[in-house]
Amino acid sequence: MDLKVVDIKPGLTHISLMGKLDVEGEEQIGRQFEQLTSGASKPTVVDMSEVTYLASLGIRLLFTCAKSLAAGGKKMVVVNPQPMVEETLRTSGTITLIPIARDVEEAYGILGM
Amino acid sequence: MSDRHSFIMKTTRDGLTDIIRRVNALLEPRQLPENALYVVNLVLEEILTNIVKYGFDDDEVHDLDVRLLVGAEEISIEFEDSGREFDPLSVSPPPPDESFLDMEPGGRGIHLVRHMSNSMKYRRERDKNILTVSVRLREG
Repeated sequence: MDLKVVDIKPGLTHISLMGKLDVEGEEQIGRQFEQLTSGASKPTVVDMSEVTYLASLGIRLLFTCAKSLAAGGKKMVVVNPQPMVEETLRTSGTITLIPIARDVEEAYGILGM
Repeated sequence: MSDRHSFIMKTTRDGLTDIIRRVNALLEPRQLPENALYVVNLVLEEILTNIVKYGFDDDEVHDLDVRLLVGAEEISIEFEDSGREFDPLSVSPPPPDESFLDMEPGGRGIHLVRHMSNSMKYRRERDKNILTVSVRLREG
């Protein structure tokens, strides 16, 4: 599992995740993801187009960080998840807190940028 | 035509990742539909994580059995453990307004497995929990 910082601006964090967000994947990127999202407390775009697998541990990570952002009035948006990852997100109900955008432009629109 | 494979897993984090690796090494050369392989991984991770985290009242390492029956139409995965009696089918689906994080421990994984697999059956035999989850290999 890899995490890449795409862009960090005063009003935005844009990161990209790649690989399997399973038990091992969560261990590999969990802390860094928390620091970059809830730790930075800025509107956040998470590109998930290269995430090939997601289960409840990964959902918990996304949800916990999104909830922390929401407490400060900030939002997290997930961009372009693969079909099975999207189904997992929708099944978990996560999208009520973390909307899904088809591309970065749509994500910026959701974030009001 | 179907074939059976049995695994014994230690109830540790390494035991969990090891068995997922072994099952993937077994299934990946078969060129199964990607969606089915995804669901098999999800079933293994969620059910085994629940057993490791919540299945036993002590801190000892236990053995549990995982059996795979790979057929032309579906993969059936059977989990057998000697932990405390627990029927995952007794877990209620979350109400629509309840968030994923607020669900009871273990409930999140069961909710995902129930939704994404094709069937779940539970029985209690010889003081053991036996859960069978099937994953269809073809659409429809």
